[in-house]
Amino acid sequence: MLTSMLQRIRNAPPRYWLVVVVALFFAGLPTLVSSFSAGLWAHALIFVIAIMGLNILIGYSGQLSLGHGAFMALGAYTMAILVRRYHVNYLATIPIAGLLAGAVGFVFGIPALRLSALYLALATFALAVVFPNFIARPDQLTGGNHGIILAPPDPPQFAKDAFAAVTGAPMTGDQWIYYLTAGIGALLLWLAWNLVRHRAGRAMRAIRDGEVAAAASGVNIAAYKTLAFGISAFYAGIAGSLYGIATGFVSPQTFPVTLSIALLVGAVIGGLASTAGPLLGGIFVYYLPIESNQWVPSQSWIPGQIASVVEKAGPAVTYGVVLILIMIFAPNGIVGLIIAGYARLRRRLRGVADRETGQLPPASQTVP
Amino acid sequence: MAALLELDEVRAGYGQTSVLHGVSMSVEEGQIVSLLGANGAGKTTTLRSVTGGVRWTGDIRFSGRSLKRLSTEDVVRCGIAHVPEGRGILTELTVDENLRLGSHLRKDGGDVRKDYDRVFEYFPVLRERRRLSASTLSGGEQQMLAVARALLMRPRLMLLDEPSLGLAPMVVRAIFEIIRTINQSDGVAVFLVEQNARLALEISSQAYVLEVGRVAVSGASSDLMGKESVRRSYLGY
Amino acid sequence: MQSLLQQIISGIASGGIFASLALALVLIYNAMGLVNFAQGELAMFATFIAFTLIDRGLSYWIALPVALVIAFAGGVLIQRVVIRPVERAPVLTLVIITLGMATLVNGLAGFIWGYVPRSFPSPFSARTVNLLGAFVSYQDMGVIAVSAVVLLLIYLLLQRTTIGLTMRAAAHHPEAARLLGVRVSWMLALGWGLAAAVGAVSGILVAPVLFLEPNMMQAIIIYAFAAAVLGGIESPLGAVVGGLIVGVTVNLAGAYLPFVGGDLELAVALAIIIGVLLVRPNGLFGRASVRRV
Repeated sequence: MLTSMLQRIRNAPPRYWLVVVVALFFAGLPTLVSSFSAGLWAHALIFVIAIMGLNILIGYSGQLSLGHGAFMALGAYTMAILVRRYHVNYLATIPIAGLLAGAVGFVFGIPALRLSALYLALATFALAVVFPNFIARPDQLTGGNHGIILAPPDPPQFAKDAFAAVTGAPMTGDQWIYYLTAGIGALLLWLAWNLVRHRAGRAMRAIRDGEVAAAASGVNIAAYKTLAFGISAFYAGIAGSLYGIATGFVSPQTFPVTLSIALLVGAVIGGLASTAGPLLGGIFVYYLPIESNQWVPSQSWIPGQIASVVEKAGPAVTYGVVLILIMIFAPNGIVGLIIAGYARLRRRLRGVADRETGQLPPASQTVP
Repeated sequence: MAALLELDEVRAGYGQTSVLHGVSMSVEEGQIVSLLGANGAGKTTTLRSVTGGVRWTGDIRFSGRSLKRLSTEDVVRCGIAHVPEGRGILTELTVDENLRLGSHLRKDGGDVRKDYDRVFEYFPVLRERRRLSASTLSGGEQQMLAVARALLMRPRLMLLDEPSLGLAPMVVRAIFEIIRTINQSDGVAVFLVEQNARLALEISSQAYVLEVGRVAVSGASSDLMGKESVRRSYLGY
Repeated sequence: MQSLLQQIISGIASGGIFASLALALVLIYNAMGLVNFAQGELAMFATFIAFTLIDRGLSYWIALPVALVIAFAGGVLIQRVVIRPVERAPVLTLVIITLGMATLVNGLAGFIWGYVPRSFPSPFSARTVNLLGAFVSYQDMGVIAVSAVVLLLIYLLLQRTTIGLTMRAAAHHPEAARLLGVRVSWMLALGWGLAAAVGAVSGILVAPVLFLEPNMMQAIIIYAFAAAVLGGIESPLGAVVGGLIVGVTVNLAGAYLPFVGGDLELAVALAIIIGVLLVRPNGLFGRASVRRV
């Protein structure tokens, strides 16, 4: 039994080791950074969860959504209303929020079938802009423009004790939220990974790569596409509820259209249709506005004028510039860059020479 | 004296596939040259090389000037009109607008008007359907539009890719008559790709036969027509 | 009856604003098959430039064309620098680039001019005149007149001039146009410039009403989307007709439907978008077939 396990460990491809390292990193993170930083990381991981869902929609089923912030809002408000008005335990509201958002997403996915990618983007963008107004309307239920305020959760006693045993200080609220988010995120990551590897994932990828061919192969396009919508909304709903728990506050203003755009950007920058992409993309998209504000002025090698301009111009400008540059130079996202770089490195190491083919460079135009 | 159009050891292809393996041809000023061969021999690719629709190596010279780094529109502006396979009709626009795109680069207003009159004389149906969308034209009418449009460019060289394709014999005859007329009256050189070898040889003075991307036979059209072996092996009749 | 007429005329004025921005969207869609999500922000930026010119003492009627020329140049520049390198990229990449531009331009405007709303001068007085028993403001009539003039000029440019012809040829049939000597790439740049200028008109016309600030156009672009989708995203005429219909409908809905307050007028636009896309995705004037040779 032990020898076969050891054998499996020795034969495991390097990728598995990478996963283990990353998992250990995230598990131990709160012991390395301040409690406040752990809270920020929790927010970043919330983004990651939402982006994982969006990745399933865009990367795997080929549909575009600029409105996933609305699903996050739905999840957040579900959690807030259940906790505030119906006194449900906040932990229980998380899956409820996810399922509700997922159901709405699934229903939304049905008419979405009829829209081309561009029109879907347009419609979801409009939805994202209008949604805050919708939410504010039934103000008895949702607290209108003021929103709903919640008490931040206290870590359960066992967590406090366990953390104290390891680090000497009991777990703080921020750290508890971090672990909650990371744990749920890991679970959802595993779920997504399995989804993609198995039949549903293959079907979706077939759809993304060519609907006509997929339909000819017997794939039920409508079912899988609406399923993808529902699943991605489910993820966004869970992320939204966690977001509400983490910030202790939900209001129409916390889910503007820029959030939906940020999610899309994170999905693309990380690298679509990859498992690691959402992780990198979410962290990047969350920290870029913060870092551009703080990191640049703190670097002494950047001349004062440039630093102050960047600082004052704010995250939006940096964000926009970086986004455009990445789309022009690295459209497959960070993961794409890494894969390309890794491939080039391996070729170098293996000493594979380019074959002299004598072929012409590819044509600039295709046959009319 | 250098020919009007010279292809010098031209290789061309699409992606990994090489279609032309080093062809050399020339078209003299005011000459009609036909390019024949079976499907896939590379005839269309040859024309597309001239106007930059496909990447090529070797050299292609027009009036002594190399076309190597020119974009399609710049090649065309040198005085070459290309009526492609499929005719290149702008179906979102009207017949009149298509024609205007033929003449839009010219600065000789009076002559342009005269050319319009001539074009409508050759192809009266175009005058009737001037204001209609070009998509309402039949195949034969679209071919006429394409040729008329090329005429309005007053080119020095016209590249015609399969002008007879899918057209009724009467229409084909009419178009070929017009080609012969403009060649004789305006001195427009014509580089003609045709499946219908007999028609092409009748109208042209020089011919090249392509086979699998290489020039298999070349010479005066009358000679090729006369040689039964050539006709049987390469031209199918 | 009078108040209905007033609402309708007011709606037509809004419609003119929506139509201008929608026309900009249609121009770019025709050229590239792409919805430019940054169109509203570009219009806002141009409006700020107009504001700065007026602030420095230029008269409104001089600042307006100058700002349009600057917007035009900006549009050309953007096409040359940002869009051309990625011309052949998939639609998703281009959409994200326009979103990036929107973020960038919005942030830049905030950086340069701040987020405090400013009042924008209007050359039309707020007085009203009695028209068929209804009180119509000069402001509304002025907006209608200016939009109408601009839209007419664009129509004449595209349909009656050679350069308009070559622009349309380049947009619909780039390959065939190249074979006719049309410099397709430059025509696309002109298309972007024209779109930027037309969009700027909508910003400048709406600024006196909404107060000028970086987020001013975020609602307007939704109305413009609705107008473009309703009219048929490929049809310039559709953009104009769509704009008028959306303007009047939203105004009437806001005035006469009790549950649609000021904040939910935008929801009416969303309903129009979703309704059109579900029932007749090609809009009123769109073509069923999709093109591009």
